[in-house]
Amino acid sequence: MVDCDRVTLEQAAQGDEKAFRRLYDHYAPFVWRIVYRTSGSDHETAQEIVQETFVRIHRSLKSFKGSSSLGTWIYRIAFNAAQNYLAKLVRYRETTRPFAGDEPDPRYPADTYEAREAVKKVLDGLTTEDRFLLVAKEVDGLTFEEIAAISGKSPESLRTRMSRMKEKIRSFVNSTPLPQEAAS
Amino acid sequence: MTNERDFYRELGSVPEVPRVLYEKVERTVRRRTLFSRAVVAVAALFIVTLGTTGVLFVKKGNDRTVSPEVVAELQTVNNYLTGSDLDKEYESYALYEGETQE
Repeated sequence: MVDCDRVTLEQAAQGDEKAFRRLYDHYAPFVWRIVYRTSGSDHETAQEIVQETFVRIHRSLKSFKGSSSLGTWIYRIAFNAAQNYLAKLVRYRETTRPFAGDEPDPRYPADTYEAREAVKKVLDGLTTEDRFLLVAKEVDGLTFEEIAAISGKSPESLRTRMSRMKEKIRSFVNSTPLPQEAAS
Repeated sequence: MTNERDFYRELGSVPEVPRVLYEKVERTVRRRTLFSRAVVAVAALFIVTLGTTGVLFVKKGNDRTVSPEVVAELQTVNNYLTGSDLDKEYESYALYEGETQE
């Protein structure tokens, strides 16, 4: 990910709203994507987490020292916000109601729907940290070192977890039977 | 069905960032900024009031030390301004949002 320019960062840290908007426009798609998947593709939850992430960024911009890239720092805030929010949400839902299951959406063609279901099933079986790791590595293309700086884990342990996860995904995808129409 | 390539392509394929999201961020930032200013104003008023009523300082021999109540109040303000209270604030925020999920 290319970081936004230094001037925008400094202006946003000084409270310039337009600069903060530019910063938001630059990073929001990345943050949204990883948070959306980390939250198990729950639109409302993802919105809450992304909102909290940018509120925290706004509040902490002055304290950003530049010891890591701005992108890594923003990912770290999003990661922490997601972990906190989802942990509390799970506890709350355990005492109120179970997670609602997704119904098939007729707007999507069957093959896309199947891929969506596969993604959903795989993500449902992963922890928040593993979902974050999967998207950060496989979709956003972050290195293990960058993800280690975000999550506080060692690159070696992340490599091991990633390798196990990919193996599970491979076996899940390959073991899913063909639908009736495609098979005939 | 799907293969691994489809799986990873779908993983990266998410809806667009909701258009209203920035407005929500902006509103929350404004609300919290107002709240922090109000906290600082109340704390300042509290300290001035204590100062003018003579409670601010406790005389101990020749020393004049700030009373524990004022220290606690200043600590609260300091926590807010430095962000040390973020986790607590986030806890209550998350709880509140959780309650509105239904």
